[in-house]
Amino acid sequence: MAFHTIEPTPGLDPKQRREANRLGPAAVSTRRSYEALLVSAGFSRVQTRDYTAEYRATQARWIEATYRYEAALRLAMGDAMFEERLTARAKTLAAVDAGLLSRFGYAATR
Amino acid sequence: MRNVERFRDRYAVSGDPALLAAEFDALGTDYSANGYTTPLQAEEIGDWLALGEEDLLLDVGAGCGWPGLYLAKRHGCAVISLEPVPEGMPALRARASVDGCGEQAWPVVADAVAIPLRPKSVDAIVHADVLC
Repeated sequence: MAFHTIEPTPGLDPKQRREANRLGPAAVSTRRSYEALLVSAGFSRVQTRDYTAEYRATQARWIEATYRYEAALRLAMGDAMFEERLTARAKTLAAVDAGLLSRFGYAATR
Repeated sequence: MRNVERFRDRYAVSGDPALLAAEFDALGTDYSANGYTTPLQAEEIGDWLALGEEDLLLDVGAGCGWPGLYLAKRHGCAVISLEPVPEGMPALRARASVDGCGEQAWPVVADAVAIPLRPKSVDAIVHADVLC
């Protein structure tokens, strides 16, 4: 199995973690690390790679592109969806810049 | 808004030229994806999983096909694209045909909490920004 996921940056204190959960995407909070979850599900040889820098760059490009095509996007999806998406992206970008959110890739075998 | 409703609304506008243009500028893809897995990261997944032509890949939360269909096209493997929102299926099927892997790609409407496959029936599993 291999997957990418966004998660609260490891090592946050409880207050920071709550802030990460608030600013992050839905379902960002986890009670256990993904490594622990994989092992408990019977996976082994867990590999991890930090993609936070790439995530930050991609999210910034999403925001730039959203503004670049704003008129056409508003026409396509409506103002509500347009603004919801832009707000969500801006919140997560701020959270990454504050060190609260990270993105990791995981690979494991079973 | 529940996730299913959110994605239903998203799939209703998938394929729009402006959305595809924004996706290409952000991700470098044109699969109606809106996550963060770039082609390079998808390639790394393919390498991690050591995909080959004999493999059957399960893409959980496949959306409109990224990255599962891309990996199937790149590595020649078969792919089951699992997606809980049926409104994504037309785009997924169309993209499988465009990518030339329609014969080895099977879209399935199902939730990841109840995958309708026998245990050990796939060789590899991928999901991108599905858990979060």
